[in-house]
Amino acid sequence: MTKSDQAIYVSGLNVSFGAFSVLKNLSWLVNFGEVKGVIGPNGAGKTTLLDALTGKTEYQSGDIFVRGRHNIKGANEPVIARLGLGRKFQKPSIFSGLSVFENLEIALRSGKAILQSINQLTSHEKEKINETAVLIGLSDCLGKDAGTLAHGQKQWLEIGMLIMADPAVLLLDEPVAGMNGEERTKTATLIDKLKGPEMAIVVVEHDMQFVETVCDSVTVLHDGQILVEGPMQDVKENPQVIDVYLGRDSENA
Amino acid sequence: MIRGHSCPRFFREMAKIILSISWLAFADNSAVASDHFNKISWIEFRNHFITEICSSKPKRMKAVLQELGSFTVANQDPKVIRERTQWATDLISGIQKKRFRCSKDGKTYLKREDKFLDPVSMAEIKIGDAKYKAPFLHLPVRPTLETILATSKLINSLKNPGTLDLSQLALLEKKPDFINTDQMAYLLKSQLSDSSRERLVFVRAFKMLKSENIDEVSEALRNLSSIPSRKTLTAITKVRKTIDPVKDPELIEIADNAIAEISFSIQIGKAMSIVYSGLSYSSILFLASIGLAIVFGLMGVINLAQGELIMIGAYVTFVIQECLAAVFPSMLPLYLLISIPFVFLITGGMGALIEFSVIRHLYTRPLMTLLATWGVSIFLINMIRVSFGTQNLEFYVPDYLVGGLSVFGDFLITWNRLATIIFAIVILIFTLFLVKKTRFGMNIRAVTENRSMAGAIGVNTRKVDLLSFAVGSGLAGLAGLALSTIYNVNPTMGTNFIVDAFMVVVLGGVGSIWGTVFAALLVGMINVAVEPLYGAVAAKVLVMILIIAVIQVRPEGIFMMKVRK
Amino acid sequence: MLRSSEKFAVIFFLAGSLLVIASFMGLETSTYLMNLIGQIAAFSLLALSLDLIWGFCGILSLGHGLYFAIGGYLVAMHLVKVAFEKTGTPPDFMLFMGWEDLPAYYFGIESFAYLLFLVILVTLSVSLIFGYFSFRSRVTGVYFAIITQALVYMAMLFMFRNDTGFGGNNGMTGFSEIFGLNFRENKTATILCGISLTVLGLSLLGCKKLVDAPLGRFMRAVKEDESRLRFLGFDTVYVKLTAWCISAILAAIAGLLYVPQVGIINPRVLSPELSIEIAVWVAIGGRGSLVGAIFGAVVVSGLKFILTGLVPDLWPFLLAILVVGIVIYLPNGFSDGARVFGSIARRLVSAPHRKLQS
Repeated sequence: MTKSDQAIYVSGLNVSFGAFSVLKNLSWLVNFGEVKGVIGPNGAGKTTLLDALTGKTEYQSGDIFVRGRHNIKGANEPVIARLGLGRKFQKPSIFSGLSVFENLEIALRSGKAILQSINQLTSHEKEKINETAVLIGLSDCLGKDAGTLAHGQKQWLEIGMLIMADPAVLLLDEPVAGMNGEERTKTATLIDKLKGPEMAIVVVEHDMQFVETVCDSVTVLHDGQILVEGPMQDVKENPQVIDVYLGRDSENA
Repeated sequence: MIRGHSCPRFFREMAKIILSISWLAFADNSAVASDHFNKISWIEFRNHFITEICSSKPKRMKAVLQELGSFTVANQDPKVIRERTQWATDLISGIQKKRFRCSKDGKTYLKREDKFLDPVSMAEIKIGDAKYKAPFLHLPVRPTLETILATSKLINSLKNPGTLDLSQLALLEKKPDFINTDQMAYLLKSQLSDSSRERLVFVRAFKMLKSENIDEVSEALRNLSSIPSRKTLTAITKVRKTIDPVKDPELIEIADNAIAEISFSIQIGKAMSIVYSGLSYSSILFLASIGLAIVFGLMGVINLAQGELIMIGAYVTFVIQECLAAVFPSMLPLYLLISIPFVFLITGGMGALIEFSVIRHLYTRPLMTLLATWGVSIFLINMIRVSFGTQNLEFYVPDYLVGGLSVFGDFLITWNRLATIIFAIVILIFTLFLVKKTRFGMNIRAVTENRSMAGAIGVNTRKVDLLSFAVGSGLAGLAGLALSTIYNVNPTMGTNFIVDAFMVVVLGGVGSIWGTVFAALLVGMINVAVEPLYGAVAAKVLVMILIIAVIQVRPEGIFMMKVRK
Repeated sequence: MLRSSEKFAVIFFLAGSLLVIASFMGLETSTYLMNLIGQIAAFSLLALSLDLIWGFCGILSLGHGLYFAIGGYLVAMHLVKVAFEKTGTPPDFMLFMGWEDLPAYYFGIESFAYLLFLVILVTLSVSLIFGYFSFRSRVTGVYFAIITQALVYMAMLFMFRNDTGFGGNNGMTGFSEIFGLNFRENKTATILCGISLTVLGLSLLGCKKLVDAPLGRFMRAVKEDESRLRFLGFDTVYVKLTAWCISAILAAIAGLLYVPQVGIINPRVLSPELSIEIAVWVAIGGRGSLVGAIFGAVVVSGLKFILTGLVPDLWPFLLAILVVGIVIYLPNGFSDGARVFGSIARRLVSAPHRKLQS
């Protein structure tokens, strides 16, 4: 593996709030072309890891490299996003007062320089918006206010918005939370379609079955550290993981 | 507190020792002076005095007035002295009011209540057709006339030992140069209270500064340097310029030392009084903004009517003062203490009403709350304006809050400001206790931290909101009570405090008590320290720059804890 | 409401232009009425400027009086300088300070072009500096509102000083003419009113174009979910700053139009109360609706003109009740009001129907 294969490389990351340390000397690697699942019990530090990656939270020490060479220490959210890190939040966050088309349009313009972002859309750009709408299954409701969409559609719209910026890494925080079975399948198909050698996808999810379906390998976080890493089948049978997920009571006893 | 008191006491003791030494030294001189005047009799002198006054020549008038001063005290018998000072008082007032008149052929009279009296014997006389004219009082004569009159009145007021006509003493302090040395010596010999003696010695030192006698000047310098004030500094600086450096090098040195000592003390005094009034302003600010800070932390809402709650607090205090004056006048001096529960409950109740009727409905719209509470604030201002008028309220200041302890230079620990500071400290302790130790405080902290979680584990968040808002409003009302004897109280006074209170909240950080304390001290100190030098605008600009600088680094205020959002 | 913006813009523009042309042709009007309409037009422009930043970008300023005052004070300087050139004596407020000549910073301001340049320069500098530092450090919401209020309060304290050359607490007055038109003439009031309406129409049209343009979509996106926009790679500081500066310049132009019509400016335009009142106009008219903001300004300031004359003691109470009531019950001001009244009206109309049916 060479550096150019590395989508995200985290080295010795420490994050703490006051005296409480959330991530402890964490080192982690995600390669291009990979769909990586991140699982772990509540409070393991999954969302904090995403926060640190996207510039939402400052980290005390350690380094994060994006696309093999960009150290993002001290960079703010927009700068990191332009390096190609797109993040979907746990709670769908879209511009509910704007139409679906406008949402995608904003996302398309966001990554560009200020002056470019106020020009009229080119036909090529319009086509891209339409293509994405088809991909996320929202081509029928381009004119609708995003606030009126169903929960699942909002999640897809948010993923669609991320795709507009041609990201190197997609960070999906609980993409199927609150979805029904059919919607889950659709989401899994969407992730499958997005998968490619130019992109790494990170899925943080509680739904093990979903993780097993879409992910190539899984990282288990526990207490701010990596417990196990590997394909889902191996991880499932790992006694430590079973202990963390099921054996809480025996630990306390 | 204890250490703060011991320092001024030391200075007071020192001053007393110096004063008593100088008094002993002065008592000697007066004995010599009195002998000279015994050579002519009192009656001869009176005739002489009248002739000299009738001359209308300023130099002769000044001289004879001083002689009169000396003559009044040139006797050991207090009765005689009282008689002479009475005569001096009568005659000099007569001269001042043009009731004393002379004719060209040397006849004189003093008019009292339509009766004509012989100025020497004070017996009633008949006056002829001769033309009488009041002696002309040239401008240079007047200060001497006034001073001798004041000193004579002072001596005359010594009937009861220890009492002194303080208004006359104040007159002397204005014009120390014209005081008669013998009269002054007599005054200092008699029984006086410490504070009056101190003032007299001080006055005399001013006069002695101009003396030809070098010893007297140097003694005066030493006396004065122990009482640092701006007035002494100007006097000494003036004298310093007239001293011949070749003739009296030692005197120059003494003067320079005195100047240095006084300027230093004045600087320290100035710094102390800035810190002191800064503390008292900070106390008010703390009281005004602690409620804002807690409520902002809890509900993300700023109450623009907070300034008006301060104002209402002051008005409630006023009403209670008026009620006491009408019903229990004997309790009036305690009205500030009596008002505390009333103010807290009434303004707290109003706060609860505001929360219940307005804020509660704007839960998720904090910006709209700003407008709604502004609406409430203009309602309150105009309610008070219509019922009380726009003029400043007259507050009765109880004796125990009048004046203060003079500590150093121009620095005075005024009782009313001290009371404010202590009051704020008590409230701070009360608030800390409330928030850290009670169940209610625990609920406040829980809801501030995570509203939905607190609600889920059974905290009645609505009730917590209501109560905290009420307590915050009550504290604002207490701020109004605390400032009523220091600042102007009128319907629009709230606006003056609200902007500073905002700055405190922004600087201190949301919902942090210690942050609020710190920011109130900072904002209060900057305001008080910068305002006299560069004006109120500069102080506000400085605070504003500070705020903008702080939020660049710590957007949530200085004391905000770091948490995951 | 949004769609009717263009219609209103054209009406304002045409009405204003017609007034100007008619007054040149010798139309006699009521000076009082013209002044009233002109002032309300200036206030409407002020409300429009705040709506742009609050209604569309979600940033509430409680200190927009600052920019209004910048325009107002600068035009007052222009008018004072013009009067000085004519008479050779400085205005009373300077004579009172013992000044024989105007201070150096009055240099060149008799030129109207330079005045316009200064208005834009000063407004831009102030709004850029303040906006940049606030937006960069992500000061938003209530925080931002109270900081803007502190800023306007500070400016008011400054202007209360008598030694600044801006008239201190008495303000600047004693203007004689504008564009060579004497203030005593009836024509002047009509023309100023016409110009105010015209500018209001043009600004309304401009704002409408702006909010429909991509920049406007970004502004609405900022209002909806600013952090989402940041995570998409967009630095929101610049959108907010652009909107902020445009809004500030519109407010300054409102001040520029207002002062010649009232003939005086004093530090009370910088009082926090006036700045909050602007927000009240917008809230009452309906945030996020350009015509609504103008409507709010017209209704509230119109009511104020009438009622402070008739029942001066009652007006503040009415205003307070109006503000609290509307804020609580009509979150989007009269835009909601129209809907509520509409549904009530419909119910009233349909009520007899139901009776018939039952």
